[in-house]
Amino acid sequence: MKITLKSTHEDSRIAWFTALAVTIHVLESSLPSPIPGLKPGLANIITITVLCQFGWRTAAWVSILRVLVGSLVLGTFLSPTFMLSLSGAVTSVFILGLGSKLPGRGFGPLGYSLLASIAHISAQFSCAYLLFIPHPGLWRLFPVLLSFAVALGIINGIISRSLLQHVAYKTP
Amino acid sequence: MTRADIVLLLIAVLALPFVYLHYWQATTAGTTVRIMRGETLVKELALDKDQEFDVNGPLGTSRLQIKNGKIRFISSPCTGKVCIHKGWLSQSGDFNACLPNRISIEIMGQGEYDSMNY
Repeated sequence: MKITLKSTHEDSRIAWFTALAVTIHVLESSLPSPIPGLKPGLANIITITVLCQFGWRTAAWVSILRVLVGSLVLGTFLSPTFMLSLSGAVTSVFILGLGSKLPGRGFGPLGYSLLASIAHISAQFSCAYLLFIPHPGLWRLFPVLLSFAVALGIINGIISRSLLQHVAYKTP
Repeated sequence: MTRADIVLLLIAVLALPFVYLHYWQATTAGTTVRIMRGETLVKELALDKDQEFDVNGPLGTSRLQIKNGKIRFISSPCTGKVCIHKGWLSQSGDFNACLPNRISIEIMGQGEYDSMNY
């Protein structure tokens, strides 16, 4: 018996973008970090770009698959790092879903990126506090990491915007 | 940049100082101190009464001092003297221990955070 799996055009699009995001995710994990928990989150540029170009459904797939595949590649699957990563990704995907429902012109790449990075860091802190370090002292680090999240969210948003300006013309 | 982007950006940047103020405010001063030997509670004392007292552990006698709402170890029969060097404790949730002598002290106060739950 032969089983054939039909893959739609969107499936292969998700696969391509996930591959791209996983590559960035893995490369980024080799960068040294000055503060524990601080990461530039460059893979989110792909999520934001996909969100602006193809909509929330595709972006959600890319974001969640990126965390899953990335953790398998790095060997952190089901580890605390993975839990933090997944909680951040799921929350930011959810918040982006709400954000994309905004009437009018809605958010641009910069707004989405900022929204995602703030949602990401807040979810990770809540997750770390609830699951791993239930000590109130943990929250003393929150303002510092939130500042970085805002700054990096803006930077990633700008990168995503210029990416869209260069790529958008070439896609049908 | 859309209008929503600008609004979100302004909110995020303007809210940051308040986040710092909220999470970096001074912790509340403790009201009582809980002294433990191993797993058992020896006594719980109010921090507003200045006093010096001894607590016996497996190694010998540790001497503690309460003064002006703060508490410290002043002597302990351990080798490292880490407990003494930690100095004064006064904030709710603060914790110190002389591990060789199995004596630990924890400041209790509003909120009743337990620093030993992890």
